[in-house]
Amino acid sequence: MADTYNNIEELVKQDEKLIDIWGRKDAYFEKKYEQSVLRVVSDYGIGASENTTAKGKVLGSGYEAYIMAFFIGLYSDKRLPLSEDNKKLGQPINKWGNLDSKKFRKAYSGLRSYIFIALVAKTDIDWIAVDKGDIKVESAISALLETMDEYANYGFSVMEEKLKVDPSYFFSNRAFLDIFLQLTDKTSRNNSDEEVVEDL
Amino acid sequence: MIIQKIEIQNFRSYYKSNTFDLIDGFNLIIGSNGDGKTTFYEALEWLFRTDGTNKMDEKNISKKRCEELFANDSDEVRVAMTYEHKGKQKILEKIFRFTKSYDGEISTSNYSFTLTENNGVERVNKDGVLFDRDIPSEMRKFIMFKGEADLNVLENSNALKLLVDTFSDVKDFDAYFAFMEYATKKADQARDNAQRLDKKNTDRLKQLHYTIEQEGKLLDDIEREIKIKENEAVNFEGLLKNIEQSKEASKLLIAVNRRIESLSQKRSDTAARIRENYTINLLDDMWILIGFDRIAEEYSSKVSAVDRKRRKLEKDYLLSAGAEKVIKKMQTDFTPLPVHIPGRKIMQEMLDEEVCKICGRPAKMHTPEWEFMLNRLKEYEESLKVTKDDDDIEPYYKNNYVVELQKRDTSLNDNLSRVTTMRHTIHEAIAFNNRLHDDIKKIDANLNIEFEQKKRILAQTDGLSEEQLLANYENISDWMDKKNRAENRIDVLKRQREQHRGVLEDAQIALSKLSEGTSAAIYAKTALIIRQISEAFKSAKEENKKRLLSAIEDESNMFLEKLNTNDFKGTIRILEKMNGQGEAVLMNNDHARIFNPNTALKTTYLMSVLFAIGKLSSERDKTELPLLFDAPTSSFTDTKENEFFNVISKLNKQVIIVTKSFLRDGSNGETILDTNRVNDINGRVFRIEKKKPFDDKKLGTIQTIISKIK
Repeated sequence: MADTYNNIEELVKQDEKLIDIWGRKDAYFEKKYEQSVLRVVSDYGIGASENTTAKGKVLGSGYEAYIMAFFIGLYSDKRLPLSEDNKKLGQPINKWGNLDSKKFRKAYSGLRSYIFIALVAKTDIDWIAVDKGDIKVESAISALLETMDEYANYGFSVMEEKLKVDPSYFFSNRAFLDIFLQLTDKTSRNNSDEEVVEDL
Repeated sequence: MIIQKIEIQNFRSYYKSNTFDLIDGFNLIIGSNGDGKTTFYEALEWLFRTDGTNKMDEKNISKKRCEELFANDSDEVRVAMTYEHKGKQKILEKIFRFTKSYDGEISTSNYSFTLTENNGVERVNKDGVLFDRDIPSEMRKFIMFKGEADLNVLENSNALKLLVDTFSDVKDFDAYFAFMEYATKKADQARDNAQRLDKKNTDRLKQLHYTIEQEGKLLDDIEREIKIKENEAVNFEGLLKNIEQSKEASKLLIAVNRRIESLSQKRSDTAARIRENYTINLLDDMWILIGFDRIAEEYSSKVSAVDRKRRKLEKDYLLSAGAEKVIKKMQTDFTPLPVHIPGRKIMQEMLDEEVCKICGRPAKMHTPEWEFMLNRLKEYEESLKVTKDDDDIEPYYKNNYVVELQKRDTSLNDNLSRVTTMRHTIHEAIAFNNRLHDDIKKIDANLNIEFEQKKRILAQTDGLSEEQLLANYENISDWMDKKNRAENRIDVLKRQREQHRGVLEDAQIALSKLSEGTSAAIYAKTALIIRQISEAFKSAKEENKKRLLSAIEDESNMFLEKLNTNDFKGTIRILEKMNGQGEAVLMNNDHARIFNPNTALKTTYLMSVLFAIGKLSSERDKTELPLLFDAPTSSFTDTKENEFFNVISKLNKQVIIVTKSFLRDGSNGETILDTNRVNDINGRVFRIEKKKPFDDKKLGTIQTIISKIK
């Protein structure tokens, strides 16, 4: 009987999809980017009630800056391990893109699935061992999260560089778009990743 | 009036005593900036003040003289003008004392303003305010002009009337008018007194007197209303004339404003269609997936490989670990009952009917044959159950996460087409926005053209603001209407006036006739004659005035011709208005009024009128007043200026001009007098300049010195 009781959690988890387990988690970023990037381009650190002072920011919640950073890292195919001095983003992944209370914005919760797909594609995990139970699903999820944080970490470093050169860099409508057009244009032409980095 | 001498003592830059001996003709005073030109002019202005203002203004005291004074020392500010007027020599003199106290303060005292008449034998001192009799203060603005803009006084419609009244015979008529009115009244009284004795016509006389009285009142009313309506018509005509000039501009302005409005609307509509929140598009429209096709491919191949491997492993496991059961299952699966054995349904039928339908023999219940059939059926049913017995084989996988990943791959592939066209979508959105930006640029260019056009229109309308232009346009029909109504009313009134004059005249004649043969006859006749003379005077005044205006017009155009020899000049016309006032205007040859002549033309045309009036008045031996100009030619070119001075010097009129013309800059920054040009001048020339050396930061070192050049 005791075994049955112990299994309860296991059983619950078995019914849950991987993406849902992953979705309950939070992202990490290096603390230094909070001032130099996150607070510059997004409302990160500003309470919902203080919206008035948040005018003029390019992005809303902090996770939007994180997503930008992640995709910069992903398309550059550059990962950067996080230093010890890091911090939780503070919003679980399954809240990203819900945006139900924001004016003039659309929800983009579907984007989470693509991030998940990218993480699976880019993370080396013995999925058969996971299915067999030889590797705990939690550690697989951890590996996925590590990949995500490292891509984003690289992205943040790129964004910080841009801001160092021009503090108003991201206030241009095209700043982020141009970065992505440039990154994906190069990769689609099969140019080496090195060049992309130089361009950034 | 001829100004013979002007003395200026301790008046600002004029230190100690300075004298200008002037001639009856052209006098030129040449000085550069700050040399004392305007001070000369203002010293005269101060002298001419008869209203008791600015009596002892400390600002007018020579700073240099002040600084020089010892404590308790004093001196005088004095400006005096010696002139000849109607055969008498007079001196107008304004003086006050200034004293320096021990602590350096300056105080003023002993103001005096006198007009001294020298009648050959003795000198009579009078109050300076009597100068007004020689030049009435309202006339002074027509003899002293500071800069070109001052000449505008002539554009004032009253100005011309005033000048005409002063300079022509017309004003002499007024004395006659007064007398005629008096005489007419007296004659009528004498006649009435005489007629009162005529008893037999009492009723008729009463009636006629009543008619005359009533008609007289009526005529007065009519005259009054005519005057009012004439003023009205003139006012609205003036307003319309101003608009006439700006009517076209108003029309253009309205059109431009309409175009600006529609362009602005189009601009804001276009701007509203621009969607350039690209950063937000990256998230909300998932443009960020622009490079995701490669990631998706990577995922797909990875997951497929894992899935394949997973299934193979599972199959191998099943094959080995569960071999026995599997084989059993496979036996039942692959070794079915012989073909001639019927299926369960047939078997049940045979058992129920107790007959073997295969061999055709009966098989009663519980017989060995029947039992055999039952056994076969059981065996068969048992064989069908074999697969369910697999439960006890351990499943190879505890989790099905790979299946989830595999499923995701399928749905991903379904969505991938959208991702691959993402780049195209983005570029289209950018191109669309860029097109809108181009449209806005074009609209802006057009807007700029319109704004420039508007600026040009407003610049050409002589200081009228946009609001005024628009309001003028709205007013046109209203004013036109009012003007026409006033004019129509004047016509009606004039007809009425004729009618009533006729009735009045008939009554007057009837009155005269009634007195025929009586003692009143002679008085009546006298009254009638005097009335007719009075009428003749009135029309003579009109005639005289018309002749004078036309003479001014002719003379003005001759001066204008001389002053603008090789230039466009137009024609000066003296327009008489409904209310009898005149206005000197410049006309083009198509009889259109030139509203905005250039400054030089404006100056010369206004001066031409001035000179014409001056010339005519001197011809008639009337009081001639000198003309005094401060820098009247600043808008003139050198050539025009030469022509101008040439004409003035031959004018046979006293003109005093203060100017900085004839001076040019030398190579060392010093000012040089153009002696060649000065030699061409026919008249007296003074040079005024600052005494050197002076400290350009200390007013107390500035002193004007005068040298007579010719």
